[in-house]
Amino acid sequence: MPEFRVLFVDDEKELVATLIERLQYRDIDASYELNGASAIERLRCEKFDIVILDLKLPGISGAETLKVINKEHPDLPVLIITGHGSTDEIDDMPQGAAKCLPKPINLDDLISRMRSTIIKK
Amino acid sequence: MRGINYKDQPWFNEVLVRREFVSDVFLGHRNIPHFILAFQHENPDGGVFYLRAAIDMEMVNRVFYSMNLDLNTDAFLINQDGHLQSPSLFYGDVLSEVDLNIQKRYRHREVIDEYQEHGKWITMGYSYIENTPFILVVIKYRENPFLHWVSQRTGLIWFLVVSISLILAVVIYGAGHTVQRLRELDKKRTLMFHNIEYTNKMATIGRMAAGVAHEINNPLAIINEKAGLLSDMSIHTSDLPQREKFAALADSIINSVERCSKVTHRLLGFARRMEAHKENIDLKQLIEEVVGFQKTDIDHKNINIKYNIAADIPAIESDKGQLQQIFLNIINNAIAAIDVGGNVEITVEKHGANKVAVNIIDNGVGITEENIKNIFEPFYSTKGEFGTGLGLSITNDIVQKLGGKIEVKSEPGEGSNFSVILPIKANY
Repeated sequence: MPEFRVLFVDDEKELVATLIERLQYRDIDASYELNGASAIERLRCEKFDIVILDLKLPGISGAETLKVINKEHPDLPVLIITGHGSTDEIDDMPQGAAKCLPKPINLDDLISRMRSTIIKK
Repeated sequence: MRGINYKDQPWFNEVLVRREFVSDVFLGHRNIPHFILAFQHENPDGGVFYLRAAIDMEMVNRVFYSMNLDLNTDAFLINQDGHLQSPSLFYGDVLSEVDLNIQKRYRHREVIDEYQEHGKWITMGYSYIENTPFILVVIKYRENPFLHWVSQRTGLIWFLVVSISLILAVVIYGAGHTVQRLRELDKKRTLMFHNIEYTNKMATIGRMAAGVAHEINNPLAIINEKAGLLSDMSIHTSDLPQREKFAALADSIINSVERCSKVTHRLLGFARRMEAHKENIDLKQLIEEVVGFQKTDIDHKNINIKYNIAADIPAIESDKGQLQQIFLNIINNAIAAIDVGGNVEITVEKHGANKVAVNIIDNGVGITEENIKNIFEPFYSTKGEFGTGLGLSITNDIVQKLGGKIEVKSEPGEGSNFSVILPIKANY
């Protein structure tokens, strides 16, 4: 029984595919979508415990996607990941994002963040 | 006088002809100057007699004395031969010869200005006295009328010289001053342009850096995850050949990613708008912490760290993270400058009334004079292909944003001293 289900939304396929494989080793059920629109669709169909969202997405932006997710799934926690280095400096922190993580991702960090976010719920 | 025949006396002959006669002055009895006055008188009854008197010149002299002439004035009588008939103040006694510029041709009056050798102007007036052989001469010494002018002239020339000098001085000073000010303003302007250019360059680099960092972070993340996956697989696959080596290789890749990541994050830190926090910081503790981060390198190179922290150092108000970055970079540089077995001394002391100075002194390779000028320039690196050249420029930037400055002293072959001066109260 996987600990929780997480959806990654990021256009870097190589990255998210590898992340998912690694998380499987850790008994975490992970999936990915490569853009905002398909992620929103998927969230309507399947249940996830947490979403990891990259702000830079093709099509509708990460911020836009976040708005929709918050609207449609108000109880669903979202963590932001970004290639913008340190997390503090994102000027316009999208509303509703719980935390922010820099790339490259430290997987252990990510997992503990996800855990603590889900437990809070 | 009785019974003398005057028939041959000149005076007698004169008086026979002209009926009156005045003689020149001569030395009479007892050597007193006299002159003869003689005239013919016709009696009402037809007789003629002649009256002759010898007049003591003293009578005439008294007239002159009574004039109360001043010492610049001389009045005397002279005859047509140029002999004094009365005593002269300037020319001597009676009967001495005087050469005056008196027209002898006819009897007249004249006033002459002429210059005499003794350097004084004289004004001479003379008049032939009717019916006498005398000429009245009045001579007045005058001050050189041009003397005033001459002295004035000297004074005037001095005045001109002084004035011109003054004017020249003012002009030169004024011009020099203006030129100086112009130069200063020019320098200021150049500096301002330089700064603006620099800021622009920085801004451009900043934007560029942000772009680059972002671009790099993504593939870096991929490498990270792939290596992580290799590591995970090596853990979970028991029959993997050379399992340990596999795991080690994966770890090595991850470490390298870590290093790249640090660079990109520093780059982005440099590029973004910085909002420095404020909190009270114990410098001793912070520095010891930072040194701790570098324990591996320090132990590996067998470097001796010495602390020398003054007792009266207060906690300073600053941004902890930024300070960590600053000292991390500088201490890292100090360690890098040392080959093996060197010393790094870290001192903290007060710097004036409201600042502290942190000195990081190493006895490593040192920095050449040429390099010192450039070490704070972005992308200036002395590490060849191994250096990014950004460490010190970013560090310097941070220090300045925190209201401080960095000073460097170095001697190639002997070591370097990086001095970070920070305000005790945050002024940003």
